[in-house]
Amino acid sequence: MKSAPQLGQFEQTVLTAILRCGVQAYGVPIHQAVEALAARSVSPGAVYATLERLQDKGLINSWLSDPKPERGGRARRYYRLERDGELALRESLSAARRLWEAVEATGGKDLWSAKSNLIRA
Amino acid sequence: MVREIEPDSSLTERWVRRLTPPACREEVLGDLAERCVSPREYLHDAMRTLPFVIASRLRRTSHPLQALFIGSFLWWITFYGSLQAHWLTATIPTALILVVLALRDAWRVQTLERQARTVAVDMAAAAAAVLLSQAVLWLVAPTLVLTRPTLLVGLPLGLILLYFLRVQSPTGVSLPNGFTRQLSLGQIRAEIATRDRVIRRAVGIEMCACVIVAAVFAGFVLWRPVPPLGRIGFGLTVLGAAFVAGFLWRHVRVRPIPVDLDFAATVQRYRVELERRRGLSLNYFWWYIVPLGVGLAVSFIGIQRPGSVHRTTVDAAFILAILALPTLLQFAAAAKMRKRIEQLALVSEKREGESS
Repeated sequence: MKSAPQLGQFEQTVLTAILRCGVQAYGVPIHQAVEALAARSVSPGAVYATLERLQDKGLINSWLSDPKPERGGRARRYYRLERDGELALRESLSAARRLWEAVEATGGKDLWSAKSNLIRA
Repeated sequence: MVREIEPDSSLTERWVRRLTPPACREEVLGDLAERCVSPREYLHDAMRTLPFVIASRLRRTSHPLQALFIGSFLWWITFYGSLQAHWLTATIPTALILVVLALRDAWRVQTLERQARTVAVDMAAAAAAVLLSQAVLWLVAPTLVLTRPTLLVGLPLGLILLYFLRVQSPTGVSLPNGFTRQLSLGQIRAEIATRDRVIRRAVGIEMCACVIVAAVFAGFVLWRPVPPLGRIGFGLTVLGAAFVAGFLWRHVRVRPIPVDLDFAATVQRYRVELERRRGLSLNYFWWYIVPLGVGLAVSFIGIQRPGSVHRTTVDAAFILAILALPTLLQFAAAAKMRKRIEQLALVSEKREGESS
């Protein structure tokens, strides 16, 4: 069976942002959601570049809306997760959860105490 | 909040529009207009957006292997790199042409319409960049200026060959990738028609090139005073070109898929055709490079004069690169075809699932 493509951390964030925006997933809200999820300022250009890369990988799909007057008569490009995108996101989140559980298993829920336990060990 | 700026009203917006590649201009400019309320904010956001958008576009439209092939071709054949006194003499115009072509590809709207005319403009832009650079070099570093024969013969000849190379395998035009699960019969027929058009043109150009190569080398056999080994090499090249032309005609030309087939049959025939083409790409070395390469290699060895070992080594390296890189490009094409075949299999599965 074909395995889901590997995702980088920023790709995971952008895919999650698309999911979070739902039917309103176009450039502006996606960028806002990415900043909220990453808890830092993110260049809008980095979001566009990642969206194009995800599209090349076949993980998301996009289409243009009708022109909007509030955008100077320009259209919005909406994005939607494809089945492969959902699979890839689920796979990478599962991997992250497994890592987290491994850290927890080494000595409690607090990451820092787990880290110090690891160092002591 | 009321916007302080109107679309494309300011100089900044006009420049940002020009600097944004057309393929993503609509959404990028629309998002900027929606997000920014003051010209200052617009400029700030545009500066944070454009470098990424341009880099992303360049990544999508450029092909490193193809650039390496064109670069080797230009350096060695067009600008006679191995004959120049300084390696930079041929390297500067080669790099300039590659940059101009990469930027032209990034700013191109993906279409096959008027491809020949677009490529002609590409070549004109490349020639202008080279001539401008030569004028600047003439002022600041005259030793790096190309010789007059290179500029008058090499440059036009090289650009003509490059023109046909780019018309034959159009860059900046990509067939759809991914998202095949909702393909309609019309979309699949359009894809087949585009592919057929590209292949038909490519085969036509290749066959003409083979006829020209065969005629030129036949002329060498008859009239050029060279040692016997060189003459044998010329003769082998004529035979190799004739073989490749025959092979192109028999096996590579388009085998049209009837337009009256239903969706399942069309996808099936298209997959079979892609599989056949993938085989041709994987075996490209044997039916194209070997028949032509053997003759050219024997000719090259046959016409060498003793003395310049360095030049002979450089020439041999470039001949090898020019012969090897197209093979690697064909492997890349085969990998793309395999991906498409897999996608089409998913389309068929989905259709069957829906109908049952």
